[in-house]
Amino acid sequence: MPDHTPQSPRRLRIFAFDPSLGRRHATAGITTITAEIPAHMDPLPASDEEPALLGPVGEYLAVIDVDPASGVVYAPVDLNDPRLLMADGLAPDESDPQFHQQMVYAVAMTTIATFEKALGRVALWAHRTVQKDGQYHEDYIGRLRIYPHALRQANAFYDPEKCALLFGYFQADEPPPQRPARPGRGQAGAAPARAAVVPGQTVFTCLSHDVIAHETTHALLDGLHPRWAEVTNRDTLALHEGFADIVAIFQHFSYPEVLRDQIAGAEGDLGAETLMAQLAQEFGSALSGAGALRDALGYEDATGWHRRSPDPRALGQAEGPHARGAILVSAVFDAFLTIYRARTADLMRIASGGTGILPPGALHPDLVNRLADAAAKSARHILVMCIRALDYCPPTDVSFGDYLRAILTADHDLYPQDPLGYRTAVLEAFLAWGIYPPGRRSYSVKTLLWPTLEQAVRDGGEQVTEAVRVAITAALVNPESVRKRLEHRGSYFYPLMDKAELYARRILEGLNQEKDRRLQEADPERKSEEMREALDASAAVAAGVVNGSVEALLARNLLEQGLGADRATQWRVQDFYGLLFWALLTTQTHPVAKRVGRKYGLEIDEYRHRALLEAAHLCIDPKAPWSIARSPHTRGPRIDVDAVRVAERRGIQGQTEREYVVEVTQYRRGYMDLERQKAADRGEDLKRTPYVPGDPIPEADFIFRRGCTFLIDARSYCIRRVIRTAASIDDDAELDRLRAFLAGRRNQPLNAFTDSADDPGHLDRAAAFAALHRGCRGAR
Amino acid sequence: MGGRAVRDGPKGGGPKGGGPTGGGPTGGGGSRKKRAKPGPTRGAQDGANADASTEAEAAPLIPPPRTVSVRMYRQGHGDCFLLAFPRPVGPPAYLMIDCGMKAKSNVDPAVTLQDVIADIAAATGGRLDVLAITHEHEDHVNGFLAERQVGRRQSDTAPCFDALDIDALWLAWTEDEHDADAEALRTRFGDTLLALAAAGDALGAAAGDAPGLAAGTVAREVEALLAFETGEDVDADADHEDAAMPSPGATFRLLKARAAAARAKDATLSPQAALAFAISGLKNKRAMKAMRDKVPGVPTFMAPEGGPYALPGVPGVRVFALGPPRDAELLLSLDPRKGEEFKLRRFGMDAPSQGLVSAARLRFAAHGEGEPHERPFSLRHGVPFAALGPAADDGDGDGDGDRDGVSEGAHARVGAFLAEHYGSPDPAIGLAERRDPHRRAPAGAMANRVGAHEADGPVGWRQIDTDWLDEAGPMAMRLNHEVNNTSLVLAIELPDPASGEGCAEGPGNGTRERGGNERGGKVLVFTGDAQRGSWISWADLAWDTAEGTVTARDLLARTVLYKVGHHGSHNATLKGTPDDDHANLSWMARAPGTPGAFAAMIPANETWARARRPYPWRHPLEAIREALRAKADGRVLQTDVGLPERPGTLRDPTAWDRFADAVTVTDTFIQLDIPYD
Repeated sequence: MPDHTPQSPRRLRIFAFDPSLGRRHATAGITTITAEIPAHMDPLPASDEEPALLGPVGEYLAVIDVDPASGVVYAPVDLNDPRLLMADGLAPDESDPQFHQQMVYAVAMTTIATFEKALGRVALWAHRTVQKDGQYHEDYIGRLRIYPHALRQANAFYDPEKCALLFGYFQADEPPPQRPARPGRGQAGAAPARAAVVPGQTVFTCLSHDVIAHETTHALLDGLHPRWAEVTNRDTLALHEGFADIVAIFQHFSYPEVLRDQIAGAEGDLGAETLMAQLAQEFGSALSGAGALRDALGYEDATGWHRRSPDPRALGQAEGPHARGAILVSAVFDAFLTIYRARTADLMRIASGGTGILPPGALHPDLVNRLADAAAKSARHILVMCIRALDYCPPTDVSFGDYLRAILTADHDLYPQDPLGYRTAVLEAFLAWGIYPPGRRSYSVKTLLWPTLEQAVRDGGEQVTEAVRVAITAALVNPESVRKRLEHRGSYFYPLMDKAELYARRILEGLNQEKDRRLQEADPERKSEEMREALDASAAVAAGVVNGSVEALLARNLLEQGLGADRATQWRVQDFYGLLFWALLTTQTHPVAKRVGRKYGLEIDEYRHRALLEAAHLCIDPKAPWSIARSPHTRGPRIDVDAVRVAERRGIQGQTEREYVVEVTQYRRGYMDLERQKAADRGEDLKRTPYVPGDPIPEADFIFRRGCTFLIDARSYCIRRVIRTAASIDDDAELDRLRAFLAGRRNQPLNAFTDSADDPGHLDRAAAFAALHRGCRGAR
Repeated sequence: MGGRAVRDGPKGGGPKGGGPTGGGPTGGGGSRKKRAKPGPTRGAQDGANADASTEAEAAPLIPPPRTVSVRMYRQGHGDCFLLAFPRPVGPPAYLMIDCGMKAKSNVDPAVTLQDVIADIAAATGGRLDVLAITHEHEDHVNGFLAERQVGRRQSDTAPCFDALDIDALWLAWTEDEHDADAEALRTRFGDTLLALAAAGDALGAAAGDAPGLAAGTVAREVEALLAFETGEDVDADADHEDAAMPSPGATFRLLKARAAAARAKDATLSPQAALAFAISGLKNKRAMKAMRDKVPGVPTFMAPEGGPYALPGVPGVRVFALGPPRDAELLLSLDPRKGEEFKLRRFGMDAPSQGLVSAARLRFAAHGEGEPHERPFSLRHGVPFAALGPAADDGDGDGDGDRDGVSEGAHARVGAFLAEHYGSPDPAIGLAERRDPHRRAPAGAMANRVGAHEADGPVGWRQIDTDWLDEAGPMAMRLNHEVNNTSLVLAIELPDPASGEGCAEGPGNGTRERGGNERGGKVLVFTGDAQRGSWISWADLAWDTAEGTVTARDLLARTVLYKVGHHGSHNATLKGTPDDDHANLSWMARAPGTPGAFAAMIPANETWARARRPYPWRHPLEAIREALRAKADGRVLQTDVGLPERPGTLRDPTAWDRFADAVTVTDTFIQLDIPYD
């Protein structure tokens, strides 16, 4: 009899760290943990007739175990096999490729679940841009591919071109040097060192929890912010790298059982903290190829392991994404420890009888449990803070300083009060490591928050009018007004509406399919009439497919479907809203109004929302440098709406806070040669100016982007925050900075002769990730 | 004094016929006429008896007193040098360095390697005092196997080098079979070569016949690089626009066939031994062996820690070996970059190729040679691609699960799974078809899955069949550079002008007669193709000699001729300043009197190199040539150019005139006479 109670999560056993722990007696006890995958992401079969979950190929992931180097495909595991359902999956086993499949699936799904929970929406992978008939369009990719045995190298990476994670395996060549004993560790203290590797044995990167979490995070982040893979300053790739490490480490820490043994083994008051830092570092050192993290948190000498104290100059000296990423990890880790300390101060006082000094010997098991729980909670908290911040970043050219502001603002907007001082903990740690946005007058939590719309407009010397505040966004709830506005757009109204229709039709098809699928998949016993009706209602929009599809869509807010949304539909919905938002943002004055205005000698603005556009540092000057891309519709500088997302969070009173996140960018052709740049700015390389759509656009040496992220309150439709990149697209100083940065990257060290015409200075997306992970054999 | 007399030597005394000397070389310094046209020199000869006519024409190379004549031969893209040093009595001493070229890279189709060797035989009277071979690359050694026609039948050939007697052979220490480090290098070379051969074959097979596929391009690049190592004229790719481009997998097939042949002859050979035998039979290896067999006695294995070495019978000339370095890390350090891609510990211990090597063994095994146990899992867990077969039915019927090995029914189930989510990994289905970016999922593949999306189906662009081979390209490049770094680097110190050695004294007993002269003689530097690590290692070199300590910095400072490394490519000439602590171009020609005498020779057929496809070779790199021109005030000689045009602006016009007068250009060689004083 199938169980219809609220669905329980799928439970799968995994290696807690990697297989080597099981080969050491001291760590054999914490070798295995069990991951839980939320039911809405991967429901358990409702009956025995349920189809197999081969691969596993699920909603988000497709694990495909081909090993071309060996000319073999490994049989896919079936996670819906009743025997496996009963036993929480296969038992951890290095020699069984099916367990490898289970482990990559379980850890990657856990990572995705962490993201979805923090952001309150379904996770989407980066789409694929294809060129067909000279037109670019975007294809939806539903599942990230995971190839657990793709390479014979000590390497694992995310390949954005294939939207796939490729894991390698290799022969261990020599045992790592023995680490000296640690300070402050009791007999039960388990060393999580990965020492137990036999030379010549095969090491699988797909069996390391942290490597899987790290690579999955790259894929998630790329899905969220495709532009962050463009290397435009020293921090972009470092942020990708550091963030992936942060997720891997803190996700690991959020399993209480991992920490329990460690804390039990720690003697003395600060032992646990040292131990966690050391543990984090050991986790991390498996990830960063050059071992950048190996000594970011601490170092080892003859007397043992010591925590490294923050160095505000370290960031200035660090070069390369791994070294800089490690500093970001260190800062976040310090913030974590502060929070942990705050959460456990009372426990320590109780346990030490108020002295603050713990008695010698092993800790009381109850205390150990409470401390481990506190550590796991702190880890989850800091992880969620770090993930939420992703919505509060500029869409392109992001820096560590921006990220700090994002963490603070995201947390502030959800929890205006900060009784435990979490934000202060983060700020303190980041400043101590020298991470801050340069050029601010003061550095406090308050001054580092991103500006509100009011502040941004007033900074531009304008006044905030009610029109500005709600003009754009009100339209998102009031579809009729959208249509009215759109109708005033003259010549490009019809193509635009055609496109909207097309988008709408696709969305409706998607909703219909989704309805059918849910009907099909539902348990036959439950396919009652009510059920059918309920399903119909849930996809009510589908009724509108008959006619007037745009209206039908506009009749409800499709963005707000939460975690239950169909991902493909959600992807299309984002596109659709992007289109609408673009239309509203670039709304121009009605021709009649202009004519009338002129008659009375009034200068009426071309752009209705000029104040907003200017506050967002978006360039709308028709005479702006011609290297800035032009819109085929408005003929002015082009404005792209890259993303419209909804973020849902639960506030401190349990209230649901929803925000729209809208990312807008502009771009400009950049040239290494200054004369060439000037010529392009003057439009000399265009067929004619003003630019006429259809004219060929010359190739650029690099692309310079600027942009802005709007955060819009989903209840009041007020723009809450305006998060801008430094300067606007027509700012030559920023363009020069990017050019100099790229030139610096290209220049090899001083002892090589190079031809200046060689190599484009920037890496493309695929190359960036490959370079990041080349030779990631780490400390093994 | 030296300048004029020098050029009269070979020409005045030589029966060059109506060749380039027609312009009256003894005349004014500004003479441009030494740029020979093909016509006059080649005369009426036809291709068939080119040797004879060249021999008839060529004259003995007699350097003027206190002058060394340096000939860069013009066979094509490769190195071949002849140096002649006057002896106090008797014929000059001849030192030859390398002899090879890339196939079909002739500067002038009428000038062949055979012609060049014949010219050397004539110029030296058929006797070389020393042959130095810098390293084992096709474009440095394939001349040693050159054959010439001696009869009417095609098979009537004889080695060109039969015309030469060689007294001594100089090799780098890396060729010493009794040296443990050298042995480790050789193992590494062999393993890597096999891995690359197999990778080239696998990539080629994956690419199929489709042009323009990344895998096919990489395969061809790998083969082209392998040709350097093997020296084999493997079957060219007839379909490729560049006819000299070997076809993918050619090296693999060659090694496989030779290994099979060896085992057919001797059934007791292990597969590994057979492959080792096949490697030893490669053309480059045979070229080296031919010279070692030919030259009596044990070769001199030159090393930085040894020397200086004497040139027999030439007092005052000392030869220093700057490289190859003994330090493994530097020996394997290739590119002028700070971060090394791979960490290296000891020779052969951490070959970057480990994965490829073991996969290669698997591939050789699948084709009949090698060992069959290079798999990560027991075979019962997997289904070989070949056994997948067509996906019949849904395969669910077997119901046995696949926990206990993969049964027949499970095979079908795996096949069906793959067909739905991946496509076919069977190499029998050309990758081209599978990789076609516009190829859509087959109709029906998705039909039974509501909510599925095309990109999640069996689309080619998401497959990973050749990703594991992506390291083959960098690895082939790396191997090539590693062998370059084993180059013997020679710094040849000419007699000190102050000592008057080299002509005034009687037949001295060696080179240790100079007093404590600080200045020392001019130096000629032949770097072979040495790359970054070798250059870096020079800074620490010093030799204690009877005349005092000599450092590499000092030798470079006195350098007046730089044989540019690796055809002037980007990684074989380091740049920097005199203050840098690594050797670089600016260290050269810093001693008093040398800046005006400094010249450079680039052995490169640039036209040919730039026409390489798909990636043109930038030999020489424009930045390096410009740096050399600036440093040498225009005095840069390049194989396919001859005497360059006189630059419009010169820092030192008289130096240019001296240089122009000291250069002789024929179709066969470019000669520069360098006076000791």
